[in-house]
Amino acid sequence: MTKAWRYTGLTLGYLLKTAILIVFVFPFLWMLSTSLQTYRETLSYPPTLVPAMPQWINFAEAMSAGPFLTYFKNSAIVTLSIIAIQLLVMIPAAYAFAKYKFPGKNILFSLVLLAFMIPGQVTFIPVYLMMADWGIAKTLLPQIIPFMSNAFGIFLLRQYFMQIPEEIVEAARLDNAGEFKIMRKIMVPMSMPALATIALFSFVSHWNDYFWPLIMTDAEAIRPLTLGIAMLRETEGISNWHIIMAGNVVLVIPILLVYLFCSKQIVKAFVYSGIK
Amino acid sequence: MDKQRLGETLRPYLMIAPAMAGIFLFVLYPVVFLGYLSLYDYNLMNKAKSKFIGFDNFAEIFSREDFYKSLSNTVFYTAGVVILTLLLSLLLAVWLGKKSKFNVFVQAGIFTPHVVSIVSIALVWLWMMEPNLGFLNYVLKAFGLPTSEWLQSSKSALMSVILVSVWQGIGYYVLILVAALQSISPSIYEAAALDNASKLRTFWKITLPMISPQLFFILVIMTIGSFKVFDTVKVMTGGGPNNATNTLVYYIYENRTTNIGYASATGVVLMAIIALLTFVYFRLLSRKVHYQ
Amino acid sequence: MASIAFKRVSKAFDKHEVIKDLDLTIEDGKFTVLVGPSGCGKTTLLRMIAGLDPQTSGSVLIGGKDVSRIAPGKRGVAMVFQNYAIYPTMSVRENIEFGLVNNKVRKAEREELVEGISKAVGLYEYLERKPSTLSGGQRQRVALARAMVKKPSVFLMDEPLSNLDAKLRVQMRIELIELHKKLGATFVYVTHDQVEAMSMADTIVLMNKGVIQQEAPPDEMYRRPSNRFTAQFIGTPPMNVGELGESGSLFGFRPESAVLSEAQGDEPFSVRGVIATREMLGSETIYQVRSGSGNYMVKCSEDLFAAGQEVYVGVPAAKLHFFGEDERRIDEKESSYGKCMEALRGRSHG
Repeated sequence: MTKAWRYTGLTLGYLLKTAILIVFVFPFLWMLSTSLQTYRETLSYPPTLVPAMPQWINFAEAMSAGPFLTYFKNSAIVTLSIIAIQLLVMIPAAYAFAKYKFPGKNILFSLVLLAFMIPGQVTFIPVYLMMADWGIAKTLLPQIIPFMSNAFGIFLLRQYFMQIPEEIVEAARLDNAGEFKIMRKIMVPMSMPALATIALFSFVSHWNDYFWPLIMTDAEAIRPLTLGIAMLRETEGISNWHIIMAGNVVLVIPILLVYLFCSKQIVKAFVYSGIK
Repeated sequence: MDKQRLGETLRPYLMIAPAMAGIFLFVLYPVVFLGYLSLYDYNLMNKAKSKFIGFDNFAEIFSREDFYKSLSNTVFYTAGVVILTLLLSLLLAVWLGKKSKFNVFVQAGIFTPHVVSIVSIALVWLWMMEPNLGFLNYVLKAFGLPTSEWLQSSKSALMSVILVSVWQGIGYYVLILVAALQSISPSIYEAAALDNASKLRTFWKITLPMISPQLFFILVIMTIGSFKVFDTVKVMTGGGPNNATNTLVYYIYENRTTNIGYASATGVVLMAIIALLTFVYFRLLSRKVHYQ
Repeated sequence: MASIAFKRVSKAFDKHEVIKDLDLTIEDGKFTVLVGPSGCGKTTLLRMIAGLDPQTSGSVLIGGKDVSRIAPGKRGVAMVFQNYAIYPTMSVRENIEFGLVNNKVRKAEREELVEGISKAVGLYEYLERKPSTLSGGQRQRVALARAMVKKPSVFLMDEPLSNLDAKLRVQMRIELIELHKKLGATFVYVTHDQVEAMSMADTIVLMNKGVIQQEAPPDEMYRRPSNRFTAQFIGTPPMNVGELGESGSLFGFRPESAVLSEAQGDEPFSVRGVIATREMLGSETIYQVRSGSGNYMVKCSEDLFAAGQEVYVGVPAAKLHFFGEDERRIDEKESSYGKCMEALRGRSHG
């Protein structure tokens, strides 16, 4: 009797959990399904779940609505440049904050933390005016250089560096290694998990970013993919859901594929960033 | 010899110089610049025509109905997102907290929307919430429930936006809470069991206090995050219908080209609100939060 | 090879002075052990030699040359750390080689050196492994090899054996003594364990609160401790010390110097007491004797008495130590030595 009850409970639990899973995954499936339907199918009632004949042409149509190759290239350049610059700027800063004593260190570090608290949604107007002033508003730079200092990353990496025993750095100094070499050969290899976390974080947030490029770009040539897809609604007409969803699939698939293959690392990275 | 010593003294400053330059140039200086702009009737085309007008922009903000509308929308949105997310993520975390393959799989599923661009999320839900052809109303009808106008009615639009934000964000917070729950040493629960504590009591007296740092973290991060909501509103409603979903950042965004001084002043107000909230949280709650 | 000299050296951490005006010379080629309780400044001295925490004032000389302004990596010293400080992301070979690469030693020579050293310490088969796959003892050897390969004139060791289990520690002690003989370099070894100090040192430097208490070979430090602190720090159980009376002077004797008997003898120190505890350790037995004038630890090679038994504790004149009011040793040649002996005899037999 009790055993039977326990099995019923267990099965019910599994069913409920599966239902939860469906709530979070179904919208993506529906997006995929719609992207392969004909216009007529999108209008049918009850809604079409599996299209009779996959309409691959929808993708071609979505991609011909704008210079999507350029958008894609812009997204890739912007995201990768941000990650590269951030790492170059962050590593020496985190090392100095973690391993050196110098006058003003605490004040400077609290400025880093303060910067972490100030969102781009507050500062975008002055930053845009600056970019226009410098005459670089028509380039990709306004999407890249404002993110050169990743305050959160500096904070996280400093925490990580501080956990590396002082003796290892001292041993390297006794081995006649310069500070630059210590960073390159010891600190960086030892903090790969933290660096990967930060890079992954940057990748996800800048690849997906919508707000900042929306403010900073007013020409097609410098727009990223997110903007291009969002604009499909205007260029393709509000009711052409099959085309809009096809564009959307193009935007989502790369990141979903990455997530599918390294969900474990990504999940770990996000949890790590939240717990520390 | 002294050159060497000078180099050693300067070294840390050189190492942090690029990072500090970025922070000063793109975060701290813009804040000052924003304050400056907020005191001007700024002319984008011809800077020479910009006029210092003191606190007139702020006076205008607090006398305009649409500002109060966007402020109250933002507050309502923030409260809705924070409360729903905290409750639901806590519930899901406790439910999915046991270490098992299936639970990890479900957690990964719930987290999926978090790695996807908000643009995609907004577009998918816009389609799901379409009143005539959308999937949501179809499901409601199939179960014999009343349908909704979702984003197209000023009554339900803000709630719909909240729903999408909670749906997207919750996975991250579930993960953090699960990690927090799993880091509680099992011996504490064993001790509680030996003390004959009921399950509910154990939850209130042990589990909740032990994960309070994470709950506090979620509260702060989400409040600040919700106050700057923009993307969902821009893609899904454009602030409408009838300003029902116009939020502070969207309000600033709309005014940014026509009236830079006014938009900047609103930005100052937004920053002040965020700073005040953070400060209040840390003062009031950090005392009650249990830290190891 | 090189001797090391501290000249009026002071060291302060955030205005808190740890060492003040210290002078010390460490002889070339000797195995010198810096020993003392934690916080006594022994590690600070070691780190000053290495240049990791340079002195606040005064100068440090290695081989007669002032190294105060020379970077740690260029002082010709090598150091073995308590936690080994092995580079975890490098293989054993890369660990040993790192210093050589930084010193621009050519590849062929490097390989030869690394192979020779790794064979000598028994790591040859592990050269391509990551340190995380090695046992504690093997990691210790990596740390040693990394120091040895640079052929330094000065070897610094900061409690290198404290993370090993007891058995391995005894074995490594012997290996280190042999290593020192073979290399002939100056060894400076820091420990808080007086047994380690006694067993390995040519010279022990005993420190307390930033001040050198005594600097002597192990046997002299044991037989002729120069003050009360030294007397009680070296040896287990520590020396019994008691007060002599109004003069403020002290007397002392080592636990193994006392003789237990059932009848009173005619030694200058002789006290009646009751055995409070008895620890039978195999080759010896340690008694705690409770008497009217205090408790005394007595170490006997034979186990003749039981707890609760009444005994006499006697110490012959030659085995007695006296310390003045200032806790400094009173030498046999000093006039007050006789007075102390008389006072003690008077108390025991008066």
